[in-house]
Amino acid sequence: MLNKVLIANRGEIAVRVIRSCRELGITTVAVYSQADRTAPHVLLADEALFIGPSPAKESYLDMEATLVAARKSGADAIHPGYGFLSENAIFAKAVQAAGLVWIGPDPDTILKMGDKVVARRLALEVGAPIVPGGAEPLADIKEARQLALQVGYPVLVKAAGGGGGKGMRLVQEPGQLDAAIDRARSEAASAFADDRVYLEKALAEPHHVEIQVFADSNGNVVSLGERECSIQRRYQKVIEETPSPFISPEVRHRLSELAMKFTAACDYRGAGTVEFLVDRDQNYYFLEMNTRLQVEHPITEMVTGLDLVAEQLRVADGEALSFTPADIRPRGHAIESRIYAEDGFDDFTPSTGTVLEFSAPGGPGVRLDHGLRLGLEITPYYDPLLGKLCAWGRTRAEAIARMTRALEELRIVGLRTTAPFCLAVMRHPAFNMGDYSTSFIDDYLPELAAATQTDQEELHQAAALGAALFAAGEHRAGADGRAHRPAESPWLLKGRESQQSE
Amino acid sequence: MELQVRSDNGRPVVEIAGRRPKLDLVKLSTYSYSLLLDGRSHHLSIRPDRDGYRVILRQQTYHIRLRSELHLTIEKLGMQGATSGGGGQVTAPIPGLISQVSVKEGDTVAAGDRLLILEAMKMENEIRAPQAGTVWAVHVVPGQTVEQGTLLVKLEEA
Repeated sequence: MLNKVLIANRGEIAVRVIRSCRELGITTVAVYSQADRTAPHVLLADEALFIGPSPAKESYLDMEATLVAARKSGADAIHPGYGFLSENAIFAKAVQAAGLVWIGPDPDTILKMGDKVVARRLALEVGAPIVPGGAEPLADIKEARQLALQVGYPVLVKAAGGGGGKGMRLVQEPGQLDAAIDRARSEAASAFADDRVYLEKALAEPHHVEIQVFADSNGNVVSLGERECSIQRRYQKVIEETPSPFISPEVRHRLSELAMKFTAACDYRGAGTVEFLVDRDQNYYFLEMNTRLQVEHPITEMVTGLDLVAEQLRVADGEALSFTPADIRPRGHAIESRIYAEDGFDDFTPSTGTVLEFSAPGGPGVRLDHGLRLGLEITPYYDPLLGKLCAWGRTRAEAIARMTRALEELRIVGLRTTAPFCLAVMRHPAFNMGDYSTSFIDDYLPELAAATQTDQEELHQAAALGAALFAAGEHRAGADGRAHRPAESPWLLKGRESQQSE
Repeated sequence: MELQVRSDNGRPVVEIAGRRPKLDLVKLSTYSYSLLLDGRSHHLSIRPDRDGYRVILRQQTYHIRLRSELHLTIEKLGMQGATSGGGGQVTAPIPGLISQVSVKEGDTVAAGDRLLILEAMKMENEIRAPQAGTVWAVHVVPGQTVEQGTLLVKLEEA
């Protein structure tokens, strides 16, 4: 049993990990940068240690500082969350070398899966198709030209050493190929210190569908079903749902089978995600494996009833999975809306500022994982993800209705967020029909923006009158008049209340 | 959308479709307000903005600009040039404070050129030449308070 876990992360995911630790009786250690002294993950943790200045490079990405904090606190394990050091094999190795438990897969597995070329080779070995193109990095421009002609334009040039849209180029015609490869190479070199690129066919209206897998050290591998993640901007997910409204039952079954085979083949341990692209004709292709907890894991938790972080903690400690494949019977439908500090209607430009008002939605089937509090300064130093609003329903329609009202309830004042954008998506006919691909935002952005302009007149009137009364100083302070009354005996008040209730 | 708000002894009075709705605005915290509008409940965030107010409700953001009748009058005048009392006489359209005089005797001005700035209701209002001509006389100095109708500048038609 782990006694003390250091969470090498911040924001909503650090809060998420702390919660599961506490439920299991594990002491939690937060680390924080200068900017995060009073961030929610610090407030919630049992212990908190300073690890450096605000820029991530000098704090949350500083392996040495993180290891020193672990040693000082006496933690016996490190949970990396997602992002930062979570897929850094060197760090994982250093954690183990320091005699600590690394809550994630083996460093060698991380290394292999981080190399897209190695991952694609393994996919072919287990019988998972890959997108037509080279499974191997391009040797030279001549090979690239030949391969592009062979698979047919448009093609995508991608970095072998990393993901997240960096080093990625869409090439529509042969004339653009040479320049695109040059730029992808230099971008990949600076982002991942690895200038190898490969090329693949760009699919028609592709869907991004991923399988959540879990494995333990005893060789048990279980699939927890899929997540449809096709609502993306700049290759970054904004809204996810499970089950996918698009794939057929046969494809769902096949993707799960392939994901489990792949997971077993790479000696995986813990939570992982195998990503696929599915084209409009339901052809599927292996994309990559993410060797960490995924941002959108809560929707899988909602339909399976599992706590994936708790499971990570158990498996990292050498325990067997607490469930078998037969236990996994996904129920209902779940949707996640990512609440970024970005203006969804202004090209997703980042927004910074102080949180002046914050209130979270609640009620049936609603969950908000966040790293917010009143007065918190949202700085430009870190990922703009403020929180994840998830809604569950017995049916997709019920989940959408809940998400809609939960988004209406959510109040964040002081900076712009993607909540209004997500609300517009919930109200869009194509989303409601479940008829969308990764081009959804490009296809419908003007429509989505226009939808927010069509006022309900009543809301506009209320806004105008509110401002007029505010300007005229015509408001009453505080709803509770009691504060001004002379003190009364609480017994008297109690007596009066019970009279009233009769 | 436009709404008319009248003032009754300093209290705002609103008419929507010929009737007065019942209004109750209660402050909850610095930027958070509850509005009951004829019993319809709205939870608003209200923040002063650059040129008005930013009001958010149900993830909808509204930019509200409040303009008094006086402001509207001034704007109209500013657009069309100051009232000309005839014979090239430029008079004050509203009471206020002369904050700047831009011309002196003998200057030639074109129609629409700024003559002076009249401050009223914390707004700076440009008083412009109603026609082209030569400045015959300037009757006010910066810092001077003027009444409505006060002669400001006399122009000789070109």
